[in-house]
Amino acid sequence: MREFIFEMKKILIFQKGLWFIIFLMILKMIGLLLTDDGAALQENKSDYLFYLEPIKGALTEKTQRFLREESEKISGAKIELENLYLAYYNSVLNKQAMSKSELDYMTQSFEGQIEKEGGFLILYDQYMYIRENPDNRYFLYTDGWNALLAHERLDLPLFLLLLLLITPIFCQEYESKMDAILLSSKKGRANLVGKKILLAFGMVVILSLFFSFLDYAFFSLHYGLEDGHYPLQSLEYYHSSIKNLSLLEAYIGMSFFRIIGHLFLAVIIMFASVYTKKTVLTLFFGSAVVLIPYFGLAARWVAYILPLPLSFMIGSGFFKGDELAESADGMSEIIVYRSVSELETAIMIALLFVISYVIILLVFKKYINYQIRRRKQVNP
Amino acid sequence: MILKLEGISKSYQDKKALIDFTATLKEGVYGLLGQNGAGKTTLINIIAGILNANEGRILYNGINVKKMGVDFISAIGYLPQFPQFYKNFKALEFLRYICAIKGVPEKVGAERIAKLLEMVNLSDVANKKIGTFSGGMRQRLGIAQAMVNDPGILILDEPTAGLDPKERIRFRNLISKFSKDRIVLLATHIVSDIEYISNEVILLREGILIKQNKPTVLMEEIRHKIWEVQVDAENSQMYLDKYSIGNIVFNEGHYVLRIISAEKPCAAAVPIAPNLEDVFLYHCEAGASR
Amino acid sequence: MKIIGYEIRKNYLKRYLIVIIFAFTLVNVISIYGYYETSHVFSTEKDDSWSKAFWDLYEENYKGEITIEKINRLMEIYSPLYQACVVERTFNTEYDPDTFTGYEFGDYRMLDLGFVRPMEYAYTYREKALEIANNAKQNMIFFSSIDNVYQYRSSLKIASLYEGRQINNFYNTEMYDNLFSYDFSSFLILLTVIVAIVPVFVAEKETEMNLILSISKKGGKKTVRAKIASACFFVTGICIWFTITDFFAFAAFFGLTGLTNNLYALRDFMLTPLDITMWEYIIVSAGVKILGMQAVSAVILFISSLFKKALLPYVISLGALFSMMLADELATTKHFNPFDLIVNRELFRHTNLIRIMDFPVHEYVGVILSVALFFGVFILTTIRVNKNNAWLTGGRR
Repeated sequence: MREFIFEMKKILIFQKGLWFIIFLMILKMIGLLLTDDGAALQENKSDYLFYLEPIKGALTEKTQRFLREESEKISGAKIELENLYLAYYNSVLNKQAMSKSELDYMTQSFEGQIEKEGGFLILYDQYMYIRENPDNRYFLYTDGWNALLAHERLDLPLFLLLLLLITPIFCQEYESKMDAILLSSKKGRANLVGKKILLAFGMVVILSLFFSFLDYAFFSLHYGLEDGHYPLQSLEYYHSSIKNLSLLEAYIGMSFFRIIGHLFLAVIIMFASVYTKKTVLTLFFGSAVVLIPYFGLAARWVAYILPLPLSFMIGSGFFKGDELAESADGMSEIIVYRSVSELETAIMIALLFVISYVIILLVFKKYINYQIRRRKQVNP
Repeated sequence: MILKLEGISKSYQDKKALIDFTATLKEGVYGLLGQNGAGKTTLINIIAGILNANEGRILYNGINVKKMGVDFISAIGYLPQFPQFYKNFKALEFLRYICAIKGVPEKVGAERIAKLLEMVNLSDVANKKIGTFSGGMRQRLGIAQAMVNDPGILILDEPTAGLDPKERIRFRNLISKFSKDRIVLLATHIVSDIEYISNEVILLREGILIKQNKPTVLMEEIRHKIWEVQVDAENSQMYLDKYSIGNIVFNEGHYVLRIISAEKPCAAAVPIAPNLEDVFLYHCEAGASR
Repeated sequence: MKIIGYEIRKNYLKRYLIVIIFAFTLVNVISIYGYYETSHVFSTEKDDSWSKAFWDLYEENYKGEITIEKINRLMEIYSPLYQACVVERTFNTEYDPDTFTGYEFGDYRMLDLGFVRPMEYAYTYREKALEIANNAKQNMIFFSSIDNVYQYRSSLKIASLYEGRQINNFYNTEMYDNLFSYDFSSFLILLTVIVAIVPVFVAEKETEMNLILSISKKGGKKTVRAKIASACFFVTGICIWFTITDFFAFAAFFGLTGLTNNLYALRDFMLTPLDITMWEYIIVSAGVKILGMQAVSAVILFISSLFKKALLPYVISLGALFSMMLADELATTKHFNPFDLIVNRELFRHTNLIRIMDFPVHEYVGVILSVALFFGVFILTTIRVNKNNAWLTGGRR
């Protein structure tokens, strides 16, 4: 336990890990404010919510009736308003008695109705989307959930933070030439490597969960994240998803995938650090393994069937459905996004675990310079 | 060739690292002795221009070095404490590079490099990468790089730290060879390095110059202050607590202590000839407690 | 010059860097192939009847100068297909050996996408350009009458730019459309630049060579300048290398044709302020990208000069890169962001003028100058923060 605390102190205090965590958390919040693209409904939010409130949830007969009635009310109000203005201008022309205040009084309620049209039209678009598949598409306020779930963005501040925290775990020992001293100590060999790896994993799990929670808290405060039990397909981004999940379940699943992705990244960074023994190369390896597929894959879905940390660090792609487009010759369909089945996901997770296990063994072997052959000779 | 240091002082925030240091150095080897933190590296860095002094001035052959600028820098060769050099460079390539940054003309440089590699016994490995060199080889390369500009002042900061005895002797001989017609300032706390080769010793304590003289004179000064006492195990602790001890040897059930003390520590104490280590202890350790 | 050579040797002729560049070149080519696979319309491998039909027709009948005869010949086969597939919608989806692609609808789509639309664009471009020029001339008269000198000059600039523009030749533009929207190689360059440049100053401190350098005649600012110059050479070299790789890979996958065609023959560059050909634009774009990369490398050099270890400068450089990308996406102004020069197509797609002392100047000139200033500021700061030897503050240098 004592060594464990020393290792923790080394990373968080002596190598300023705590400061990095605080700084990148702040950066993350700034990033969320700047890049937040879930504000599609903000313009007519109050009018939209006015119509949405009574029909939240599944599409029913009652909902359809309500929408029909409201639609009629708006078109009726338009006609009424037009008639009133006509009557007013006629009365002005014919010098009959209809004062401006009388007109204002009479048009007030219709105008109020028409003003809400913007909000109603958003809801109507949502209705058009929902009615294509009313079984798993519900009415709900989508801004917050879209911002939280409907993107394939990498959590860059967390990625940078992991580079900062995991890289020095081994590199620092090499660069300060402490590895030789540690290796010649009773608990400085496999025991210490195990503790370092466990500590890295612990940090990754906590930070990954914490950053996921930050996302949730931010969008919850910013837009509100209500009705989390509604189906995932209620968001247009997941329109073709075949996963039978609620929004909240998808968020939890995504957070879980992110933990796996970040853990795998940590394993890769540690592997690079014991094999290269150089900070620059470790950082380069850690960043290239994530950023090259992130920026370089023309077909993003391919990342989800490659044993790399990226797909898990993003997470959302595991829940998306197929996306097809017409081929250039118009005779067939081409895959824009190919959904990842549950079996494929399970295989990928298993594969990642196996690879991680092998890499960790290699880290042990390399760090403590464990030579299997020599040992065999000692024990005939 | 005269290097005059006049009233050099340097402070880091509250700590005074060097206080009113004044000395005159001529051709020969000067051993700069002092405990860790006594101000040796600060003094070296100030002479080399790596640090700015708060007060004082340095004159080289009577000219203020600030006025000499690049001419003074060209007159310095410097080997820092733990140089790694560029591991991916070959020794020869590295020395050529040093010639380039020191502004040594190519032809002159090539001749000097060949001669220096020969002198430091690295000719055979001139085309090997520095990354493959042992500690001793790296230090020999270090002194060669300091010498490529044929400096008037050669500054060596702890050059023998970490070397094995054979390499240390080899290195000492190299310094002796290079000290002809130049000022060599050798900072170390390995006293034996200085004992054999230095013309003068500069003793620093807490940033103050406490002694500058020939080793023999310094040793002479403490004659009759070094004692050998034979004690049993029970009494040894009393001597260890009370006196500055230069050496302890366990011999046939007794301890033989080398005591540095102005007064005779006991009736059985026998005066013995001092060495430079005793001088160092007398002035730095015993002096500090005085 | 000799010190620059040594700096290059020291910092860039490293085995791992050469391996990285080689690996990235491979990744780049694979990525371009992936890009080709997902975005090509007509496959150059001609492995399907649709692509084969297009390339055969293109090579034999329509490539090159646009003539009335060619247009008539095209319309002769296209019109009945248009009638059947669009107007009457009576097209046949059965295999038909008498068609180019095997299907009537396939023929229509192939001719429509491959020939009719691009030829129509090329043919009508002259008219559109003339209209812009004429509008600008009318504006000149108006602004002259109300003594608005700046607007008058702007209109004059636009009129002279668009007057006389025309596209006389028809070439398949797929390669250029895709090459000019491909950014991944820039990202690979940036990653290489970070891993190569972060150690430039840091490594001197890690090996304690900074002490030896600081007491050497040319080890102070001269070495700093040599480091900057060598970084410039490295960045330029690597940019040129990737530009060449991009060009040959795109040419190999999409097919090289129409290098001497006008840039505005690309629909995306209809309103480009540049009156140059495709190959000239490839060079201009690479040149501008190099300047952007130099500015980024100046930032990294500056960061490197501030730290003793590689961890923070690397992560900060990566963070700075992401910030520039984000600013490129979010900021309304393109000025002072090197990323706008690295991904420079937006600069050259539209004719935007900015006002400098009552003179209209192309926006790209302003952006290039501002990034050059940005570059200069970082370089000067890097030189400044790296102290010279104390004895060099006076006396002969």
